Amino acid sequence: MNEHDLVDALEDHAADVTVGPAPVDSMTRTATRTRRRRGALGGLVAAAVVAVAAAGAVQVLPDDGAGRDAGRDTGRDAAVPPADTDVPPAGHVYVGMGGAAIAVPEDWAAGDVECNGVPRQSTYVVDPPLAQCMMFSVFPDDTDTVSLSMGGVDTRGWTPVEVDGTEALRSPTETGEPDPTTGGGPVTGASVFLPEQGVVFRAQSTVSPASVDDLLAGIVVLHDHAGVPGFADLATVSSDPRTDGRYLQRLDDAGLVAEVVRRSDPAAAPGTVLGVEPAPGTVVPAGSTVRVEVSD
Amino acid sequence: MSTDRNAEFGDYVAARWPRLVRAAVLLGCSPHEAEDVAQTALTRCLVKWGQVRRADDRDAYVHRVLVNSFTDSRRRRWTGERPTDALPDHGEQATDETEQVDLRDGVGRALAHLSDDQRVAVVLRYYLNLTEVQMAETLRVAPGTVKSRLSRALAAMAVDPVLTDVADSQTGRGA
Repeated sequence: MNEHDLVDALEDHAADVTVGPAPVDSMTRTATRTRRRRGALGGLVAAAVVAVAAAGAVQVLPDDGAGRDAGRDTGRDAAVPPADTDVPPAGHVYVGMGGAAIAVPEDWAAGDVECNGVPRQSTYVVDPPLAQCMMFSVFPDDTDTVSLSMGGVDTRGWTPVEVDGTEALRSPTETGEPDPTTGGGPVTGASVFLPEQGVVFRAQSTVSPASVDDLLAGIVVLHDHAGVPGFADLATVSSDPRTDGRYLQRLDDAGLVAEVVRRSDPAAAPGTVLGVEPAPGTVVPAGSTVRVEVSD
Repeated sequence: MSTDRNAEFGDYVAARWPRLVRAAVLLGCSPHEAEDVAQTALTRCLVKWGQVRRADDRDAYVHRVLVNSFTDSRRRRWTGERPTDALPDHGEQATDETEQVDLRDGVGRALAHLSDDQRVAVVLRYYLNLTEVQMAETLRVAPGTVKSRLSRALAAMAVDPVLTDVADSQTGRGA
């Protein structure tokens, strides 16, 4: 029999098989349960491994400012169970979205960027909005930045890597040309995308290319914590102005509980997420409540 | 996010379910078992739907999971017997002239005579219509391995009495 006959014979043979309807609902339910269970189980297993290292549980809420240091000193780490696994390295805090986070130095500012997105100093940017202005500014020397966003990235040409035991993709490391007119040093940048968590981490540096690697090496998969997801991209990736439903789904996926507060805002279409508290990027224990302000 | 995901998943399943189940039958599952294998595979895909969605070749990703789920199911029931639908049929009965053996039945038996690797190769290539390059990607083996598995499988089927007898009878054996 030739290949063509084989194709026909397989087709005929297979066509004799009566196939029942696809159990989509059952698959959807099982998948949801698996995702939740995987989170919980991962926590337990990892907890046993790091129980020793976690002796001095470190506060993981990267409050934007004084709260952070205060929390460290006043025992707010009571919120963190003793066997907590999601503990950042000394001198760092975790900033995350959904199931993944990245360690950033605790003295970094949050979101200290110009309206064009260029940093003023070493900073982490959560949920970076589109550039709001065309202002000209130079990426300062000796500066590192990290930004986090939810998906929406073209990963063609990216390399599969493993990050904290999960599959990830890493972009090529790109170094720009130094700009002689401004005296700015070359900026090196690279991104890592965690498909399962749907989070993109981007690191940029004028310190050194190695600094980018060091920063990206701080990416972890969270076990019994979750990062408050961003919402800025929801308004840009879809023509639907309502962002609340999709954001609440994101919180649900992250294992967080939403408390919706309605507020009238003449500038926003009804159903627009106006803000969330704690702010996107904050790493909180799984199951925490996030206050979501939605326009009426 | 998960609402979008579930809707997209539903569309994908609606389009691909029958072919995936039938592919599992060709791989050697009973129809009931085939639905289980396809269901397991698709559920695994849904858990990682973000990855499936971003895969360069979504079908290749799903096929890989299907093949893995099939292999897992074989491993679990290794001590059990093989599905009777694809029971290997040795010679005499198949050539019984009173039995209407046509190509479509013969091909099932001939597939059952192949090794698991060879059968997977045949199903991916000739039923799921993957190219050899896609197969190499799906099976995570070298393209040369795909070629050799296919050519061995075809060679084995070419001399399989189940199929040669059918072919003979169709070309007017005994006339």
